[in-house]
Amino acid sequence: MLVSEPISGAGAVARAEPPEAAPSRVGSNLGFRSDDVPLRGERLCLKLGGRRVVDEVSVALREGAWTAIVGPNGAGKSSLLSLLGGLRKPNAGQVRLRGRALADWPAAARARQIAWLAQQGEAEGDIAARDVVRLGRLPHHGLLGAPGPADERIVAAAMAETECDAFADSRLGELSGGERQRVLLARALAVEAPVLLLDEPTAHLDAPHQSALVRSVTRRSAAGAAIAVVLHDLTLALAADRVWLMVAGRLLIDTEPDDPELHAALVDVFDASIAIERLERDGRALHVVRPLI
Amino acid sequence: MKTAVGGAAWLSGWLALAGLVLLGCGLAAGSEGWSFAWGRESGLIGAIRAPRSLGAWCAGALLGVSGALAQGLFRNPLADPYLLGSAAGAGLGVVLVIASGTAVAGSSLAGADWLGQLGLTGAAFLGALGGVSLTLLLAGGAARPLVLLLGGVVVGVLLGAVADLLMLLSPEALRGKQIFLLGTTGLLGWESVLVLGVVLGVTLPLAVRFALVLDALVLGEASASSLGLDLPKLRLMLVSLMALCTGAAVAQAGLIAFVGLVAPHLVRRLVTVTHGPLLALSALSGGALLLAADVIARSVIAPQELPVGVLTAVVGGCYLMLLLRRRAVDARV
Amino acid sequence: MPAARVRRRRPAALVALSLTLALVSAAGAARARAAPYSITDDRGVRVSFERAPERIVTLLPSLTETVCALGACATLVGTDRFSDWPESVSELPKLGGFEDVQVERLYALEPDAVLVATSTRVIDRLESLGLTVVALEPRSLADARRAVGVLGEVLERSGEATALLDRIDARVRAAAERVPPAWRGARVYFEVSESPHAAGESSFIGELLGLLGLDNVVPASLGPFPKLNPEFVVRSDPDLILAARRNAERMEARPGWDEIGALSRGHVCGFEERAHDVLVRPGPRLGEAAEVLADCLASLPPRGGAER
Repeated sequence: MLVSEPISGAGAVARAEPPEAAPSRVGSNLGFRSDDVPLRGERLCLKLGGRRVVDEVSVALREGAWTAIVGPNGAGKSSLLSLLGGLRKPNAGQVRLRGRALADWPAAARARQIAWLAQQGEAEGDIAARDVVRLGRLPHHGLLGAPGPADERIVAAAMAETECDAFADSRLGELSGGERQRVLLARALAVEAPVLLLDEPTAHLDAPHQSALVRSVTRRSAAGAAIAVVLHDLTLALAADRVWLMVAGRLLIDTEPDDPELHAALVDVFDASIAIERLERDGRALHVVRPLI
Repeated sequence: MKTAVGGAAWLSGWLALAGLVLLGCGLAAGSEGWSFAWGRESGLIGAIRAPRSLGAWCAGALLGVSGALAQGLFRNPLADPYLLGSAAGAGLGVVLVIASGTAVAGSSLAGADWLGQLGLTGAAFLGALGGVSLTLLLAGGAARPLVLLLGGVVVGVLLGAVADLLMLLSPEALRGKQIFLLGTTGLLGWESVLVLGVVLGVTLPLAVRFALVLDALVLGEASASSLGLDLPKLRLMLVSLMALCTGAAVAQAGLIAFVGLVAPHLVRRLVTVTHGPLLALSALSGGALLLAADVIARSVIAPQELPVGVLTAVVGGCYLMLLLRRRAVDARV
Repeated sequence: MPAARVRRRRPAALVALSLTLALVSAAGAARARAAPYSITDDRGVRVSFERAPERIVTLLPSLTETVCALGACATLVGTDRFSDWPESVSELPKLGGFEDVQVERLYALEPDAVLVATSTRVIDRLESLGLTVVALEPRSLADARRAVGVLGEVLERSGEATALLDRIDARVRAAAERVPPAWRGARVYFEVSESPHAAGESSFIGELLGLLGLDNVVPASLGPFPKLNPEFVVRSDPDLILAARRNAERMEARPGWDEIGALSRGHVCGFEERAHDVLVRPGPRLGEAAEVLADCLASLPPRGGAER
C-alpha cells in the first residue's frame, strides 16, 4: 500500500518539496544565496525512449547529510542522479546548484562543485590506477594544467581512504571488479567537491570495503559535504541521514531512515520479500533489512 | 609484461636509439645492397637515402600519433588512423587526379586543369581531410563517438564507390590507385621531409597538450564530462589533429597498413603510461617501425624493392595474430 | 651531370605545401642558363639543352623504341621493365614499372635526360633531384608523330626524325594497299583487354585501322579505350575481330558471343605477344604495326556473304 498523505511523526516527511516552501529569494549579483541548499531539483521530468523515467521529482540535498536513494530496478534512481549532476538535461523542471540554475554554471566551476561516480562498466583502459585517481583533480588544475604537490597529497589521501595503494601502479584493466571500483571511488573523492553523487558505489565491493565506504561517506558529510548515494543494499541505505524511495520514476517518500512509514513502503515496494528489523547497539538504533526466503 | 609507471623515459631512450640505428641502416641500404662507402656515395646518400629514411621515419611517426589518437578517442585498441574516411578520401583524390589527366569516355572531367595542377600529393592530402570532414558533417559533429564511427564507415564505402566508378572509366587510374594503396617510401625527397616534419612538429605538441582528454575518456563519457570537459569540442579538435597527421602521411607515402595500429600497442605492452607520454612514444615507435620496414623493403631483394605496405601488413598481421592468441590464453580479461 | 635546368610553374595549394614550395623555389631558383636549344614536352614545359644528351633513361616502351629508331640506342643507360625492343635494350638495367620506379638506381646512373610518360608521379621526385625530365605520352597517331619530332630535336637528329616519319608513312601506305579489297570498309572490333576494353575509333589503334581502310564498331563518342558491355559487341556484330591470341581463343565461350558471325567464320586475328606489343605501342614501329594488320587480313578466309 502506497502512502500518499503526509503524517506527522518522527521526522518530517515530504513527498515533494514545493519551491514555495523555501525561504523567499533575495536577489544577488551572482544569483545564489548562501543559505540555499547546495543542490536542489525542482519538478524534474525525464523521458527516455518515450518512457517517463523521472516523473515530477523535487528533492534537495542538504549540507552535512548524506542521502540514500533506493528503489526497485528501473525506478529511475540513476537517471535522477544524472539529472542532479547535470549530465542529462531534464525535459521539464530545473536543477539549482547553490540557488543558481545548473545550466548557468560554467562547466569547470560546476565540476568543482559536483563530483560524480558513474555506475561501473564504463571505465576501462590501460592507464595506471594512480593516474585515474589524479583525474579527480582535473576540475581544479584545468585541462592544460598539471597536478601540483597539494593535488598529489589529496590523491594519496583518497587512495588511502579507499585502500587502493597496493595496486596504485597497476593498469585499470588489470584490476578486479572490486579493486577497480575502489579506484574509481577514490577518483570521485579526490575532487573534494562539496556535492558528491555516487551511483551504486558498493557494486563489486566486499563487505569490509562496503562498510569502509559508508564510513567515508558519513565522515565527509559530517565535514559538510552534501552526498547522494544510489544503493541497492537496503541495510546500508538505512544507515544514511535521509532516504529517498523511488518507484517507477516517482519519488514516493523522502524521509529519515527510522520512519515506520518508510519501512512499510519498502516492504510493500519490494513485494513483501524483505523484513526490516530494528537492533539496539551501543545505545544506537540500527535497522537491518532481512530477506524473507 | 612490464608495467612500470615512469618507464616512459626508459622506453623513449630505447626507441630513439633504435631510430638512430635504423637511420644509419637507411643510409647504407642502397639499390645495390648494403654499402658503407659513404664518402664515395655521398651524393646518393644526401639526395636519396637520407631524405627517404628521414621521410619514412616522419611518416611512421605521424601514423603512430594518429593511431594513438584514434585508439584513445574511440577507446578501442583496434582503432587505426584510417577510421574516419581519410583513406577513402585520399584514394578518391588520387583517382580524380589521375583520371583527370586522361580523357574519360570521350570527355575530360570538369575542372580537370586545377586537379592536375594539384598533383597527387596535394590531392591525397585534401582528399583525406575531405573524407574526415564529410564524416564529421554526416555525424553532426563529434558529440557521439558511435555515430562518428558509423559515419566513417558510410563515408568510406561511399567515396570508395565513387573511386571505383572512376577507375572503371579510366584504367590508368586503376593502376595508379593500386600502387598508391600499397604505399611507397621511394618518392620521399627533402620537400616531403619538410612537410612531414612541420606537420609532426605542429600536431604532436598540440596532441600531447590535450592528452588529458583521452585519459578522462577512460572513465567513460558521463564521468569525463562531469569533470567539466566540453567533450564535443575537444573531440572535434583531436579528430582534426588526427586527420592532419593521417592526411600528411598518406599524401606522401600512400596507404601504409598497420603502422598506426601497432605502434601504440607496442608501447602499451612495454610500459604503463598516460596518453600524453603514449602519444610521444607512439610517434617514436611508429617512426622506427616504418623506417625498419622501409630498410627491409629496400635491401631484401635489392635492386628490386618490396612495396613497403605489403611488408607492414605482413608483420602487423602476424603481430595481431600473436596478440589474439595471447588474449585467448590469458585467463584474466 | 644534368645538362640543363627546368623552369616550371607550381600551384599554391595549401599553406604547408606553399611554405615548402616557397622554400624550395627560393633555394633552387637558378634561372635557365642561356642554352643552345630547348623543346616543349607534353606537359607544356620548356626543357633546355646545351647539347644532345649522352646518357638517357627511358621509362616508357614507346619512347625507348623511338630513341633507338632514331639511331641513338647507344645513349640509353636504363629503361623500364616493359621495354623490350630492340633486343639490345634487354641488357640495360631495368628500373621498375610505371609507378614503382627505383629512384636511387636511376639517380646512380647519372643520366642527363630522363624520358617519362606525363602521368608518372615520379616526375616531381626526379626534377627535385635536379634531373632533366622530358615527359611525352603519345596516345594518338598525331601524338606519336610529335613525340618522334620532339625526340629528334632533343637528340639533335631532326633529319633522322623526318626520315623515320617518312618511312613509317610509306610502310603504312604500302600496308594499306595490301589490304584485300573485300576487307575495305569492314567493321572491326579491336579488343585491348578482356574486361572487355576496346580500342575505339579515336584511339591510335583506331586511327591506324582507319588508315588501312577499316571501320570501327566503337564510335569516337565512346572515347579511345572504353570498357564495353559485352552485349554491345554482340549486337554490333563486327565483320572482323582483332585481339591477343589468348583472348581470341576464349571469345566463343563468352555468353552470347557464339552469335557473332565473325567468330564462326574464322574472321578473327589473334596476335601473338610480340605482334600484340607492336600494335599497342604508339611508337616508331607503327609501320610494322600496319604490316602486321595487313598480313593478318591477307591471310583470313575470304569474306563472302551479303554486306550488312
